[in-house]
Order: sequence, then structure tokens, then C-alpha cells
Amino acid sequence: MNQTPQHIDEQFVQELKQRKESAFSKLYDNYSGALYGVLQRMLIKEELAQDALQESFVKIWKNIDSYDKSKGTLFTWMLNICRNHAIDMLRSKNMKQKIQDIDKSVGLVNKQASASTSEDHVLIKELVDNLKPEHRQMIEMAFYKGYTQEELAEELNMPLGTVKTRARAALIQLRKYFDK
Amino acid sequence: MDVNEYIASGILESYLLGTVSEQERKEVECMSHIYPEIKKELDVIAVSLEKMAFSHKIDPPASLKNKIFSALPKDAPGSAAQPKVVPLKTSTNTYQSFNRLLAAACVVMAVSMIALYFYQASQVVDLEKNLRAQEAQNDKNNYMIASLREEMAGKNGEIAMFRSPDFKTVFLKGIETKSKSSLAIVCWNKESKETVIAVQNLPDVDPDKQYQLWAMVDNKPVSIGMIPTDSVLSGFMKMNTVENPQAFAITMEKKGGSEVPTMEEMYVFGQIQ
Repeated sequence: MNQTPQHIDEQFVQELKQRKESAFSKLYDNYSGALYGVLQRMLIKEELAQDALQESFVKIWKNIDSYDKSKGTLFTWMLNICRNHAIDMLRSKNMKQKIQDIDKSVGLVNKQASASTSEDHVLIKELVDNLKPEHRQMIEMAFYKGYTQEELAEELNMPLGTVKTRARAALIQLRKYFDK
Repeated sequence: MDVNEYIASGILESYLLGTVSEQERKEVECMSHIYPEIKKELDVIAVSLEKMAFSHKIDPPASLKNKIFSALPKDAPGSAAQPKVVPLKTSTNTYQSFNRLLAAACVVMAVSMIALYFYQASQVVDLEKNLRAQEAQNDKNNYMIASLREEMAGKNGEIAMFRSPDFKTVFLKGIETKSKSSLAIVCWNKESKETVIAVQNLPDVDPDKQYQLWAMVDNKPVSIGMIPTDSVLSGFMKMNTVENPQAFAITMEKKGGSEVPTMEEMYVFGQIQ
């Protein structure tokens, strides 16, 4: 399924807010793959991604009342919970050094993942292969690795303004790619 | 604020990528509340990120679902499942900047309120002016309605008079040598003997002169009243009663009238048919 379900009806959200297990089951069936894909890409290790998915899902269950439709789609809201959780994990002191090493140059992530065929690394599909390398790098580092703007500017040796413009250019390219 | 410039700055993308600072995050959320264009743009970008996530989906191991669902705190759905209040980790710095933001918001609010106050005050003045103008117009209209009613009552009376079999209508036509185009209409009620006259057209009179209406009774002229100078086109006027007239005539006499008509100054004449 390449399409995100854009139309989640009010009724379904209500059922989630009432903590109906059937609704959460449906939610899990529809979205866990997309969320897990992101977590896997962020955390590399399968077991970390699984832990992250579990903890994120518990958070979603607990905090569903704070979901506000006017601020964005349900999926974006869940995605943010997962990403924030994974970023916290990445930033915890043990992980940080490791990830930064892996991450030293972007693109290496994928090679690293595919090169190390050990059981806890899965093969991750090349990120949107039609993107220009610098745009791909921007999305990879910001979206998947949780770099802040300042960190990006420092890491890529660019002014802050350029980081923002490049982020915009990258997402415009991404939009074009998916609008095809 | 230039919305397009704001969108072009790339801040929305940075926001969705999660790379913005706390202050910028609040700013974007605030802006997207105020400007629908920004909200729309945010949604569009979010969709492409969602699509990306879906295009890279990886199904978690099947066993994970059960594990996760048994880990959900289901014992007390609803109340106990409410989100815990997590204390904010606020460094003095973000605290200060938040305060600054708050202060700025207050200033903006205050200025808006003052502007709103003056705007509304000026609106009230305008409305009052408007109201007064409307009231004046209303008075005028009421006056006009009243005079039209009066006029209509008069006309209705005239119509009734013309239709009544008791009234004899006499057209007093201009004397050829004197004033051919002159005309007056006299209605005489044979029952009540009342006489009314409507002057259609008579030459202007000098200030010391006046028109006088005569009835011919048995070949003798009888004065039945003076016609006011400003009577032309003012409708029917009541004159004196007269018994058994055969004809009517109007002569120009000295102001106040004469005992006998000046025949040379006769302007109109008409016989009862």
C-alpha cells in the first residue's frame, strides 16, 4: 500500500479515544508497517525498532486524547510520536556515539546496513532513489536521524539559512516524486 | 507578514522534519493557526512525508502485535489512561524566550484591542450619523404620506362629486376676445345649492385686482364669492350657495370685489346644460 489513508472518519477517532481494542487493532494493522519502516531506518537494529514500536504504541494508546485533528493527520501525529521516541533513543548517551559513527557520511547507513548481514540489521531500501543526493541526505539526516538545524549546519558546513532552503527544496522534490 | 515569504523560507519543512527549535515550533503552530495558506502548505508537505513512510514500510514480525497489545495499560480505560503530566524540561533560556514570546503576544493583542476600539468607536459615530439621516428621511416621508393622503381624500371627494347625479358640472370657457385659453370648472349641487370651483387657467392678476365668480339667476348676476389670487391649480374651492343659477362667469374686479360685474373684464363663461 503506497497510499496513506487520508480520510479517517470521526467515528474511528472516537472509538480510539474510548480505547476500543478493535479500533486499535485496525490502527495497528493499517499503520504499523509504515511506522516500523521509519523506526527501522532510524534505529537500524531490529530489536531496537521493535522496542521503539511497542513503546510508541503504548504512548499512542495513552495519549490518544491529545490528538487534535486540526493540527494534522492521525498518521503524522503517530509518526511524530515514533520519531521523537527514536530520536530520544538515538540521543541517549550509549547510542549516540555508535550512530554518529555509522552516520559519518550519509548514504553509508544503507551500505552499512546491507554490508553487515548480521541478524540484527535488516536490509533497508534506498531512500527515494530519484532524489538528488543532497536532498536525500537532508531527509535522511533530519527526518531519520533527528539532526537539529544547528547540527545539520555544522555537520554539512553550511549556513543555517541554507539548511532551511535545502530542506524546503528536498521536500518539494519529495512531493513531486510522490505526485507522479 | 508576507505569507509566501514565510512559506518560502523553508521553516515549514524544517518543522515537519523535526529540526526546528522549540520556539520555532510554537511559531509555526501559531502561524498555521492564523494563516490558512500556511496550514494548507503544512498539510501538503506532511502528506509527502507520509507517502514516503508508506513507500518504505516494513512489516514488523507478526508476534509483535500480541506483545504490544498485551503491554497496553487496559486495566482502567479512560480516566487512568489519560496522559500523564510530564514536567517540562525548561532551561532558563527557553523559559525566557517563551516569556518574551508571551510578552510580544500581549503587546500585539493590546495594540489590536486599541485598534479595534477606535475602529468600533468610529463605526458607532458613522452609525449614529446614519441613523439621524434616516430619521430625517423618515420624517420627510411621513409628512409626504400625510399630504398625499390629504390630497387623495380631496381627489376622492372630487370623484364622488363628479359621479353624483346631484351635481351639475359646468365648464367655464375663455372669452374669445379676452383670454381664449382660460378655463374653470364649476360644480353646483342642485339639492344642497353648494357651489365649488376649480380654476384651470386664468391670466395673472395685478396685486390690486381679484377674480370674482358670478351666477346668472334669472338674467341677473349674483356674486357668489371672490377667488383667492393663488387659487390656480389648487383643486376645488367652496364658494357661496346659490339658488337656481342658469350660468356662471368670472370677471376681474378690484380687490375685494364689486357690486356688479364689469362686463368688459369677463374672462370665462359657461351655461348649465
